[in-house]
Amino acid sequence: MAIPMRALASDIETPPRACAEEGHPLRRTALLSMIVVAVAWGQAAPAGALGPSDILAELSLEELMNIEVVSVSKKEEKLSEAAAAVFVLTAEDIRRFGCTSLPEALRMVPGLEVARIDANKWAVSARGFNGRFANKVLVLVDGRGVYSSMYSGVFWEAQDVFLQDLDRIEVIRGPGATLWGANAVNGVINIITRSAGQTQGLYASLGGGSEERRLGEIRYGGELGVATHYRAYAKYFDRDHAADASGQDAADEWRAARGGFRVDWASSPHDVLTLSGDLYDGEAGQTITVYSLESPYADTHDDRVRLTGGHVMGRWERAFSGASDMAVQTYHERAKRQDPIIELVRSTSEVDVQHRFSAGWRQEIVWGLGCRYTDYEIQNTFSVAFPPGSPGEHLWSGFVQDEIALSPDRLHLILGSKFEHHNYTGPQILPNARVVWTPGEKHTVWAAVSKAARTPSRAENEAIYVVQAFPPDKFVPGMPAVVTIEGHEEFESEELLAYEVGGRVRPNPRLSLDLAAFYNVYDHLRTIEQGTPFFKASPTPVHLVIPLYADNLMEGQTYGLEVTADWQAREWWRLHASCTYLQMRLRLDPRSMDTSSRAAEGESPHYQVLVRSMMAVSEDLTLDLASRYVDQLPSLNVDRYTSLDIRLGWRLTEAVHLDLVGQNLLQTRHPEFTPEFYDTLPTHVERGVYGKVTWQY
Amino acid sequence: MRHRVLWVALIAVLLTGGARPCAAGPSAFHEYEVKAAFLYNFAKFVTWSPSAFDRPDAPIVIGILGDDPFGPFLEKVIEDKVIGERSLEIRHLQSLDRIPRCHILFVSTSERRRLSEILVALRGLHVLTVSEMEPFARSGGIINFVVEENRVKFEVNVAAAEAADLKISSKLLRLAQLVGDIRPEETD
Repeated sequence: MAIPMRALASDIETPPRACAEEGHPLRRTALLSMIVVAVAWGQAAPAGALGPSDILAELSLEELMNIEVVSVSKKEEKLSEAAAAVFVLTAEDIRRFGCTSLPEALRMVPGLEVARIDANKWAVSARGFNGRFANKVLVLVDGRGVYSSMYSGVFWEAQDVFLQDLDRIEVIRGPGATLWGANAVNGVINIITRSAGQTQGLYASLGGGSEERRLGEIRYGGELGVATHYRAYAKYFDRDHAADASGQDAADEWRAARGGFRVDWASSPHDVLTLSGDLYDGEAGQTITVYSLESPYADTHDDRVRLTGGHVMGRWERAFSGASDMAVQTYHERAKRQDPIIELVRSTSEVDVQHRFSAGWRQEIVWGLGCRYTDYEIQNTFSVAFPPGSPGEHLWSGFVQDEIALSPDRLHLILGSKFEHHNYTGPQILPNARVVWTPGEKHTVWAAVSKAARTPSRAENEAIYVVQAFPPDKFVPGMPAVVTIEGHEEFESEELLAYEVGGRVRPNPRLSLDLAAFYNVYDHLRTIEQGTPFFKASPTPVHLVIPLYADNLMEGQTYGLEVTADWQAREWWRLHASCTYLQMRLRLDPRSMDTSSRAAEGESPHYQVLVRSMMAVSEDLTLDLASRYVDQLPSLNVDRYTSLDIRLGWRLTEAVHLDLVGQNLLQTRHPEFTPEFYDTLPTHVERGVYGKVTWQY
Repeated sequence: MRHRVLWVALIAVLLTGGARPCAAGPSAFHEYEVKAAFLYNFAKFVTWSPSAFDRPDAPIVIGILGDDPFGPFLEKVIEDKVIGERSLEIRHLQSLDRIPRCHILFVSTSERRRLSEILVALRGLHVLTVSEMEPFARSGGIINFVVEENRVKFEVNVAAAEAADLKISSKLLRLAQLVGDIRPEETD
């Protein structure tokens, strides 16, 4: 898994500390001669052998202008990003729209499909195949994968960060498997927080409203020395339940507390060491149907899922020179989920190394190695059971990517591949080739062909999941019956071959247009097939089992177009608009008896439109609007809808800010999605208003 | 005397070079080491109106907006330095709210996407803006670093400096590449 590198002090190459003779009163002529010698010596000696930086402060401007420097300025836009459908949601964007959770922030990203299932569950995908267990988009928080190989998907209700300290959310639509590995099929969401040095001082906010009942956040960032910064934070929120289809209160209220820290230590000008961690505890309500072999066989009731966990992460970044750096990262994460149908503790440990260097003038190579170990403690229930004693998961991976300048500044070729081995799913090779053509400063054109794979989850391979239960006499006299999805070892990876083209035009500094088109060819897509019914004596009573299992009997093509425009219309007014079109064509193999998987065609919107406006009305007043149009989801019986969010920000003093946010203002309530597999009650998103006071110094 | 210094320097180079096999490749000074020294010089050669400071001995505040490319260099350069009666101070900023408290604002390339927003927020403030991205000075920023043939040069937008009520010493201007404002017409 690639480690997101910070373009920070880490790229810096300087004198070793040992030779810094601070405060030594040398005369200027002497200083100059030292510099002359050192520069002359530079061909053989490391840069650093020169004296301290304050030698330079003594020089005149003319002298400074004649000093030769080693340039380490990072490329502002990574080539690999210029060559893909990438969108970056900035910290400012996130703040300006009053987002209070990660999935709500993702609604501001063009091309992503974000649908709320209930007040604490979301379906998030890109380029189709959306669902609560959307399994084709990989999600990382500061380089830590939060996509679960247990059930192939992300439990968004367990993911959160201190939103104020977010640096950016980078979203890649399309395959990112070469850098990020398996399951980066339709996209990668990379959530990146700021360094501790950038989050100094006190930040505190308190708020409340109709849907966001109570929220409080506090962070303090300080210095532990010249080159060591830290921050510590805590947050709490209490969200109101949503409404069911008839407008009655649902049982999906959600509360969570989270605390964390981060320390960044620039131990030398080449090195940055980071240690971070967090702990959380939350409760998310739901209305769930649980099946059993006793009356009432299907019991629908309200309950709460308890979500607890935390992680600790260490990272070391070293810059050898401007053109060469390395990062080593390791983390351990534990996440516990206590759900009526399963109790699950997931422990993950991962180590990654990544190294970038230039080979000659025309090539830049990045390679990396990684190893991840995931273990689960599972309390089986009648609803979900995993075979006891399954070994933990080992994933070994390596990747290499070469950026080749075919014609410097004009034409680049990026070739790369990921190699993975997973002890459950075997080896994967995920290559990709991209071409970027930059005919002028204002234009970029790119094209790519990539292979990606969605690997089977443990659940698809070996779990038994009860999806329905029937009272006696329904199928066999005197005997209850259940429908189960049985793990199937033969289930293989879903595969994608993706063809993409895109372009970017910046006719002037105030306007940028982005366009991406894709044609995806999928094979071995998951289908749910029927097995042969059998009788089972355990657990009692003896019952009929109608088994279903996962197979790979579907193929299909998807294609679409994504257009994004960003326009600084006036100095005080920025506008953003995007439009996404998606078409899915899925075909079952004649052998397949599947009746549900093709419905994915109608579970992602054909059209999505997003318009955002950010206005500085006066020096102290900002007014921001975001409106989204989402096309209907015929398979889920969800109608098209348009939503509108407004935020009014008022700067009372330099330190105190007031925010008033209205969410989903156009309707009293509207539905957005219906979950697959997990039988929880979908609820409607309600109109909401909240206010927030922020204090910062 | 001169020779002795040379020898000491040479030995220091050899010793430290041998003691620590760091840094790959031939190199001279680090780019940001030099840029940090330039920033200090800018503070020396620019005069702010007295209203920009609370007290006659109030420090000159250098704000860094966005990712800090200087690492420890800037801190080292300004340590113990006094310009007139004023010491220097560094502040790392992430939001625009605290810009008014700065005298020099270094806008990191990480902020490119919101550059126009930043320049708007700076209007009417006595802040010397410095960056290192094309077309910073031409878009209303004051000083922009340019690296040419491995040497650090800088552009100055004099009109923008005047608008911020800053006096730039002719010594500085003589060495600068002067640029004009290509900003589209004022919009309000």
